Amino acid sequence: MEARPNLVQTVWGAFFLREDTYTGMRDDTQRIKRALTLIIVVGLLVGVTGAIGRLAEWAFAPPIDRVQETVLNHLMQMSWYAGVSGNPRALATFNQWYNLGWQIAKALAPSPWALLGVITTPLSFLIVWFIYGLLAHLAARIMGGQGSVGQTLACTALAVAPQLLSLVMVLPGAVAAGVGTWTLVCNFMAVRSAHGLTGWRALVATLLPLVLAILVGAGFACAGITVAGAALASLGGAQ
Amino acid sequence: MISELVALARGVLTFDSATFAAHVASRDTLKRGLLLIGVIALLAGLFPFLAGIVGSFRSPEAEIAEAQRQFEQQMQQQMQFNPGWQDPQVRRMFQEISSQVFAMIQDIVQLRPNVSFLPHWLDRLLQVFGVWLSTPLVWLGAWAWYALWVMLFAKLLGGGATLERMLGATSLFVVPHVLNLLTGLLALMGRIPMAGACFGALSALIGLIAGVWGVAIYVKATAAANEFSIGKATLATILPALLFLLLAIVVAIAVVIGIVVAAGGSR
Repeated sequence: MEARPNLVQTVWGAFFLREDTYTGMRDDTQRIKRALTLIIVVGLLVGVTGAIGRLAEWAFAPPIDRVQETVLNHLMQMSWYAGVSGNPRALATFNQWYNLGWQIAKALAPSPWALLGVITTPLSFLIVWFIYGLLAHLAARIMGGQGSVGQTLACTALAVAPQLLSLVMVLPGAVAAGVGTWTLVCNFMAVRSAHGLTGWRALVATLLPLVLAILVGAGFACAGITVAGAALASLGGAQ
Repeated sequence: MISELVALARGVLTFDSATFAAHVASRDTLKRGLLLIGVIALLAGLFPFLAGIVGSFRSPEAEIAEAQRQFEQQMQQQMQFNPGWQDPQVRRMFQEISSQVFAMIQDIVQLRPNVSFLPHWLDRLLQVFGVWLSTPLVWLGAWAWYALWVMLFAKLLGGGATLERMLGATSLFVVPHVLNLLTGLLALMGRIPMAGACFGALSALIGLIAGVWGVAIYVKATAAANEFSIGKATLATILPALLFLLLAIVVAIAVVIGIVVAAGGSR
């Protein structure tokens, strides 16, 4: 009997699309345990490095309240501001939009809360893996796949390997490009290996959950825009 | 390992069919391909990275002042020759806003960071490292995304490549981009007053050569991976680009129609 590959070998093989890594995971009796370990370890690594990177960005950045104050001071020195400040209604509208813009900026700016990423990153990896795995399993079954849920989940867990590219984000200014594309490639390999599907059928089964996610996301975005539009309109009407 | 890679690069650059076939058939095709992309992307970004290291020790105030000087110089030229800038009121307003914006940036740069003992240069140095180390990932993302589309079209044209073989083969396009090491250096020399324009033109020419050479290798690699003709490989290589172009044109037309309709409706 062949020895089971360790975590590093598994990640390495998954990243380089080694067929034997995917089939090995599919046929392993302890596949779910290995899948969970893999996702948690990769999630923790990415979470810790990401948190360090965001924390460094926060440490080097000036306090955002001071930036907001400085920007306002300069805006107030511009000639157009005199026109705005002379009109109470225009000034109120300006302040409303200015503060809203800064609230959004503050929500997106790095902060010490980034340390929460150590917990939220592995958790989000687990949730995404579980939902994607189940949907991919359903799609693969529809396409004529033969694998079990456990086999699909075990193989799709290997698609977490490209997330290790995100380790570069420990440095401020770094971007982890290509992670999404490579994850898609690994998921394709996973679905094909777990279900023994042909290329085209595996491609459809891999993409179906993503198409569904995009549709659901677009639906939520439309609903969000409608609600936000209505809220802004009511705010405008109140003045 | 290095001699192996050098031999591979030589065979690829000379379009040696045996080299392509051996690379595609190898078990390590993808590993070698990714290694090539990583190494060459880092080399291509080497000189901008070194310049960035030097630049990170410059004072940010001096850099902003330099940017302001260049901006004002360009705007002076615009105001002299562009009929749209002849209105004195528009000029005055623009000058007032731009000088306030630069003053604002100067003030923001002078604010102490959240962890006040951290020097500005350390942030900039780390960012330079971050951008440099991200270069292979950016190349990887763009290459993999395009290769998937090419593979899709190659399959439709009857190609028989596996995913691993296709990715491994097309990664060879990166080999001529080792010339980008030179373009990076020439781009730096382009900052030299007077002679800079010549270096800039030479850099663009070398970049163009590397690009065209890379596309030719891409076609050859696609043919080798799919075991079909160069004609079909060319078609599979350019079809995704044509598709994206077509999509961009359709989106642009839709946006223009949307703006026209919106403008018509608001009247």
